[in-house]
Amino acid sequence: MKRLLGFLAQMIGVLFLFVLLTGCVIGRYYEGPIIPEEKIKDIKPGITTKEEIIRWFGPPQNYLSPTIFNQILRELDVTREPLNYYPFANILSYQFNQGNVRAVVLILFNYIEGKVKSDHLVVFIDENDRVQYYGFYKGTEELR
Amino acid sequence: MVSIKERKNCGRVLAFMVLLMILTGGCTIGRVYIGSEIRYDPKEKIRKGVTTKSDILEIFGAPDRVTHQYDGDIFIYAYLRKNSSKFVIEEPYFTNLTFFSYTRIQDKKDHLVILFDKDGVVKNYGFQRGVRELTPF
Repeated sequence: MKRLLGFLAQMIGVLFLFVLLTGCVIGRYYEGPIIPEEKIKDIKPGITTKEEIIRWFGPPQNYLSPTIFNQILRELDVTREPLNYYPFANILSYQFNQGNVRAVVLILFNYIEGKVKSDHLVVFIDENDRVQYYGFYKGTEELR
Repeated sequence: MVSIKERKNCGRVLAFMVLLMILTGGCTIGRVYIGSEIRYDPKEKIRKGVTTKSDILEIFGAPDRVTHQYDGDIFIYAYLRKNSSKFVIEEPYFTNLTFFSYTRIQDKKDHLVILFDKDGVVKNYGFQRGVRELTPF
């Protein structure tokens, strides 16, 4: 009887390992240029010009729409609309997206988790082409 | 020594387990988080007719969306979460039959909309915290 139990335990162990060792998936997604944070403290409303902003941070991304990223989210049926939308010339938007995906794929159980965070800078320009106000949010820190 | 009867029983148990594994497509749990949680309670930070656009940008950071209207701008902040759970019992190899399927998808978001007047002062705002309504399964 003892030997039978041992044999059964071995078989169950093998099956259990087979179930457990199916797969683990880790994915990282990065989109857009990294926003140089050291330059953000140099932005002075009423003083900094639009030209300086473009020199420091590059072309704003309301003109370079992150379509691939939004396409993925649409395909995954997460959101049908683009996450960010700035169609106005007096708003300059800069965004760095980071997506982390991790999944445990077993035969009987699967767990999939996806997190998308953004570093996001928005600069409002007045009629004299100077910064009116700005906002920055560092969301990618939350992924660490 | 293991008797023939015991071996047969053992074989049956194993066959049942293999059959169960083949039949049970499994359980899938999915979690999607998009964006960042709205950092502060708008009730505590926003005062209608007092708080300015500049204050809002400092408190809540860059909005996810801006809309211009003839009487002032609108800032939109959103934090989206999607929880999905699926349990399926099927035979996917030979007959492709699904015996039982249970799916639950919850799509919720925290949503803050701030309306400004022409001078960039908060005229009104709306806040909905939907993420709290999510259940684990």
